[in-house]
Amino acid sequence: MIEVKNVNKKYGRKQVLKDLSFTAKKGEITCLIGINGVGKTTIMKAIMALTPINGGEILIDGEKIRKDSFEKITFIPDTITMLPQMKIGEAFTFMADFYKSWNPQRAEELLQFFKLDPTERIANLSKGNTAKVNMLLGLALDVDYLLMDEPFSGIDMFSREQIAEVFTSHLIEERGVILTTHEISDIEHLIDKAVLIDNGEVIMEFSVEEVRENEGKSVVDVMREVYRG
Amino acid sequence: MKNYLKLVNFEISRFFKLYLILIGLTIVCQLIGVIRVSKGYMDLAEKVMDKNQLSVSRFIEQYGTFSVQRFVYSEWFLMSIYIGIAILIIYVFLIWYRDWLGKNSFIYRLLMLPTERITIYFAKLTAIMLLLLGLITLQLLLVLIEIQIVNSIVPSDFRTYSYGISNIDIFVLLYPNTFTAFILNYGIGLIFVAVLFTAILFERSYRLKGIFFAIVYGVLSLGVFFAPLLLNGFYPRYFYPLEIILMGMVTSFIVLGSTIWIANHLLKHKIMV
Amino acid sequence: MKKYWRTIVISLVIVATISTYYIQGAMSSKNDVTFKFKTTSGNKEEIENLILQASYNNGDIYHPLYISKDGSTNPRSRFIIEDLIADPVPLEFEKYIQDYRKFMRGKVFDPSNYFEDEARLIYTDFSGKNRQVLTLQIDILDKQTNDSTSFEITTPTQANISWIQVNDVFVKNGEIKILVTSYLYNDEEELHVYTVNENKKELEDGSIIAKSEPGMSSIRIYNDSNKIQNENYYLYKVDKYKNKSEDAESEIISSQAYLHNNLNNEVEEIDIANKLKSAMNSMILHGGEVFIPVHSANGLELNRYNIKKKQWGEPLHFNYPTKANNEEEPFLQLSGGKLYSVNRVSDGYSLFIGDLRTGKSLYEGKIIDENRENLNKDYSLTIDQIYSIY
Repeated sequence: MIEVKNVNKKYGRKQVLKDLSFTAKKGEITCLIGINGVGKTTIMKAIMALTPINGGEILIDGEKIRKDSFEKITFIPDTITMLPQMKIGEAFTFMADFYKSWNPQRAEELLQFFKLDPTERIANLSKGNTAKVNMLLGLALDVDYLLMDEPFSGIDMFSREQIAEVFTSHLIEERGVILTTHEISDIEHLIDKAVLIDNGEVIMEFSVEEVRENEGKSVVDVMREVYRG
Repeated sequence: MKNYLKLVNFEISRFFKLYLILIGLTIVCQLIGVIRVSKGYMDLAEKVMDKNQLSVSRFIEQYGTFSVQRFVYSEWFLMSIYIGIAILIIYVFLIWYRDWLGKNSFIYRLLMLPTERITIYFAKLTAIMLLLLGLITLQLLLVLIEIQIVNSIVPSDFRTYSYGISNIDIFVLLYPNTFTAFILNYGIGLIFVAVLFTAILFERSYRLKGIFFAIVYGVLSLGVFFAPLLLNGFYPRYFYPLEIILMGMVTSFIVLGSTIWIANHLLKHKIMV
Repeated sequence: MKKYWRTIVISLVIVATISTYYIQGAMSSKNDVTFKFKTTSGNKEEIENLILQASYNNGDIYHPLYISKDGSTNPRSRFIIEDLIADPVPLEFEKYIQDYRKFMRGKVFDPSNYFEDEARLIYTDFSGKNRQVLTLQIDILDKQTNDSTSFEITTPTQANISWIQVNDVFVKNGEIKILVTSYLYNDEEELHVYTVNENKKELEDGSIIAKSEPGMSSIRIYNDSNKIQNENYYLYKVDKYKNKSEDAESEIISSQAYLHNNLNNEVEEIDIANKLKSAMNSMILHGGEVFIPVHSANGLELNRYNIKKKQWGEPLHFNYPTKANNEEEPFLQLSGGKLYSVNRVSDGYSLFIGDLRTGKSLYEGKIIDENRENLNKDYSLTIDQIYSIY
């Protein structure tokens, strides 16, 4: 389980995260929901120690992040995490070289699924394909936790469907996923938990299924209530 | 340790193409230069001796003998040196910034590698030192070749008597007389690059505020490093030379140790992508 | 492994080239020129404890060395940075630094500023050398207890001093006499003897014993600047010139040698025969006598003036072959009652040691060079000083 506890972060004068807490369990897909600039990406970067926090703590399976943690958790940001001059195949070699948790067969599987050419240079790929490669680099790692930042942003509809397919497959099954998006309607049926964030704070944290069963509301309904009411 | 070697090799491979181009350029520049300068001198000698009917010794009286110095201070040579220095200095900064800037966000990957983040720092430091040492090695080999070329174009009576390269001023710094001095010079160079790296990390951790921290930190490090010499300046002869050297070693360790500690702290807790 | 080839190649080339360069450099230093003694006649024990501080010029390059019976060594420090930090420590001070490390801190390593006897080591220097108020600093070390005391004396203000130099220190009967040259801004020089009362810690006297004016006169001191023990006399010469214009060579009207007696502060003149006047520049004060050497192709004629008796004695004659050309001044040093002379001869340099009492030769030998191929045809060996080490 990933525990974010009372995290504070200031950026210049602005308090970006205020005493923010939530948890994400392994085997569940947790979605951070909020408008642009509310701090979703910052939270994910903070979990990965890619940006400093001013207070609070973040635990992954009960421990603070260490170098070995990166074999257990990975982050798929909205920019490509490989050298653009590299060919897709070379990127795979790089990952295999450094990560024990790199799964070459899974990488091969995904390569074919996404219909990508390993000899193609990353810089020459379309935006959609670049996003797919980025995702691939995360998914082909046998990690327990996957963090994805706006996995659907700027992607064409068909690529989006492909990616959504991945979510329901065995590739995601037992892992813990935290993702951010503002296209909530697209993935509502996929997520287990929703965390509503506004102004750097958690407004509401709830199980999607419970709310649907007990109150008959969709996530979008809850959002409307919270943000407008 | 293995990750360190992998990262060193990675950094070297990234720069390799440009490195080969730089090497090629240096070789071409210097070889052209040495041939032109030597031939130019001999052509001048021929012309003047012919026109004024001078003997070799009279010509030498007026125009001087040809020493390697003449070539070393010529434009071709100096240009190749300046280009090399410039590229190396630029790359000290670029080796970090290239992973952040533009379309590149490779820094995400580097910081998410399952290795101590300070390994990245050490790998980049090692890469820079290898590139530097590679260039000076190239220069050493080139000079030996160039001396041969000069000897083949300019006959011995026109040449200044000299043995080896130790009397060419520029080289005394790059190739000091003893191996101990060599280690010392390049050790100091390494400390200097390390401090620069940490300054860069300050900027990358605190952005604008970071530049200020970087400058303060840089000046402080310089101060501590040179403290023994400053002391010696204010109180001359109070400390014996050996004591000053020992103090220098201590301050060097302090500066190097603290720069690595700070870099580690910044990379682990303060860096921003 | 094969994907590491770039790094491996670069590393190998660097290591191979640099190590070859330095190994070769170390080997070629074995081909450096060295010098050693070769005894021709006399007592070998004379050179047993000698060290010659010398240097030779090869083309434009100047190489300092120490030559002893074991050969020659390079005095350059272990770490080149030592040379960058400070001037190398003169040989005679190494022992003082070793024995009295704390006392020697911050002091100038010039024998002129020191006095030593069995019990004590005394150092004097001026602080604030080019400021208006000159303070004389005196440090006294008790060699047995290793305790030191120091005190300062303010000398009377002299506004126009641009530099001040301590030439000698004489200590006796509770008095410290310091021979000082003051250099004034208008190029005048003044030779002072400052007398300090050790017990009262006061300046008793600061009289000027000679003065020079630029273009008109000049003073030259002939004391052994390397001698730390007491010298009972100060020997100095004052030349007077015909008032010259800037360009013309100065014409000496008169040269007079003076002896200042440090015990009673009296100054006496020395009469020098006219034929010796031209050799006055080579005067040497040693062991209660003033010597004037005159070199010839046969060796040396050493004229001697006994200070107590106030008369010239029979000159000593030492015979040894010299090339006696005017280009190279032969090296001559009188110490410990002996005469040391190094001269250029046809095949190198010769070393001659003579006894000043008996006038006889004690040792004759040659200084020969090895690995001659690296030497220019006309190299020259210059001797700065000969030390006896025990």
